[in-house]
Amino acid sequence: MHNKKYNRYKAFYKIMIEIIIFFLLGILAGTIAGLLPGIHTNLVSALLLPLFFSIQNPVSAIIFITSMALTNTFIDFIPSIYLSAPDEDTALGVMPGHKFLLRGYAHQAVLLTLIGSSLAVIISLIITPLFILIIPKIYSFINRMLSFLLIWISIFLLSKEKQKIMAAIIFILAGFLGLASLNIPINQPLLPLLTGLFGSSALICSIKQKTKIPEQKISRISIDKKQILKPAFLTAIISPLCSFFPGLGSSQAAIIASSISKLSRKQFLILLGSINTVVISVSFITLFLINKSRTGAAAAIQQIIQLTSAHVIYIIITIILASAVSIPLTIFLSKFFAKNINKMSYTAISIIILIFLTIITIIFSGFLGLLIFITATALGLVAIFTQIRRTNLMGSLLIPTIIIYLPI
Amino acid sequence: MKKVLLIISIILILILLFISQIIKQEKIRGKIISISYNNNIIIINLENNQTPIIIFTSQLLNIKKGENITAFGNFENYKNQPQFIADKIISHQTK
Repeated sequence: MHNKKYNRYKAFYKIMIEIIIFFLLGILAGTIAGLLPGIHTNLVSALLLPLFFSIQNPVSAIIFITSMALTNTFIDFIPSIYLSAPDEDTALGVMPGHKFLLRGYAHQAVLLTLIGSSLAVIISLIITPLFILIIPKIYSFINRMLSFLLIWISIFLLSKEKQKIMAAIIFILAGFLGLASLNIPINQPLLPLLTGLFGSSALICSIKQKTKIPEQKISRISIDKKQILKPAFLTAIISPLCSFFPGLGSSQAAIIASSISKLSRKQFLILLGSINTVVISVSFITLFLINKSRTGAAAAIQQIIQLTSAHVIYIIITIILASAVSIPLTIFLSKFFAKNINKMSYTAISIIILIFLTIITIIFSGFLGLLIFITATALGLVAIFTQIRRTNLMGSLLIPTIIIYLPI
Repeated sequence: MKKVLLIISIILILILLFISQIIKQEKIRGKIISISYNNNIIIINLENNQTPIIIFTSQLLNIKKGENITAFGNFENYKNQPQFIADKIISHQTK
């Protein structure tokens, strides 16, 4: 009897230790994927899928994937802000982030995305039950109206430009590029598309201008609570849609949200941070409730196991714990970047990142991916040189999404 | 420089659009009226479409009768009957 109890405790501790190890490994994987330019958790989840199948306890695999995906949403703004090297969810963070970097406030920009990500954990827990009740009821209405909403947003984006014709040309060209990229059967088409449009083009510009990075100030952030409320509210409304509608990602959600209400640069960074984290968090719940995966991490879990309510509790606990670990980790890494970024030649860093992005594009998307990458880079440079706001390059995702949802 | 880059972008986009038309997969879209599983072969029939969709997989699909789907793949003939061999299925429904 005593022996039986001892064995049960032993088995319990063994499972707990395994879970803690997988949680920490997930944090490590999320950190590495977050710091490596251009690498998205969707890609990491797809690459690690065979490994997940070999894990005996599926709960450990779920915890690994959740902690990796969550940590990634906190960390992945660091390369996009300090190195202008985004992944598909942080592409829009390059532009405001780079402005903060050139003024010596890159650490503050990271802290703003961190505020957003931290808020997102709370938002996700509050809004998920509400959306579960509301979305199925209004789904078909939104499905019919989505393309018209996106057309309105596209017109709104263009109307804000001084050079409207040039902006429209760039927006439409980006749309054609997006359509071509998504129709060519290659792996990870968004990798060359978005890193080209937003990342490598900015890097080439930095190399050409021989950008010098000023000493970065590591100071506390000063932001009014009221300023935080607006992006938090917009995130709560818009980002859960991404978890229900295929083809809508964090970037489209950020464009929709920022079109609905005018946001300052600081608020936009908070918005990006929060949307990124909400989309991942809610996607796990969506997987459990309607058995649909809208993110790579949720798709990986879907392949491993049919989620039960017990698994969802593990996921929620992992989301909270991973966030608690990721906040100080992101601050630490951002401070490290802030202290060291101006010690190296930014031109040299930009060249290294550019070569790295080119290599990973060839590895993951092949030579057709490289062609997309080159084309996207050229178009990104046109936007920079003509001083058209680079949000217009989101035509690359908006136009294909409009076509998917057009009710014809 | 701006003009050169713009012209290069347009030419490259046209090339990519051309490539996407040449090597792009076919697709069929419609509402599922039946799904049957048989020895690692899944056969799906769509409303208003005579061509069955065939998927070679041992996994269960995350779709059910009544859902609207898009199947990506190629048309082939089997015993003089056309069929659509799908590589990828996307569902457009959440319920």
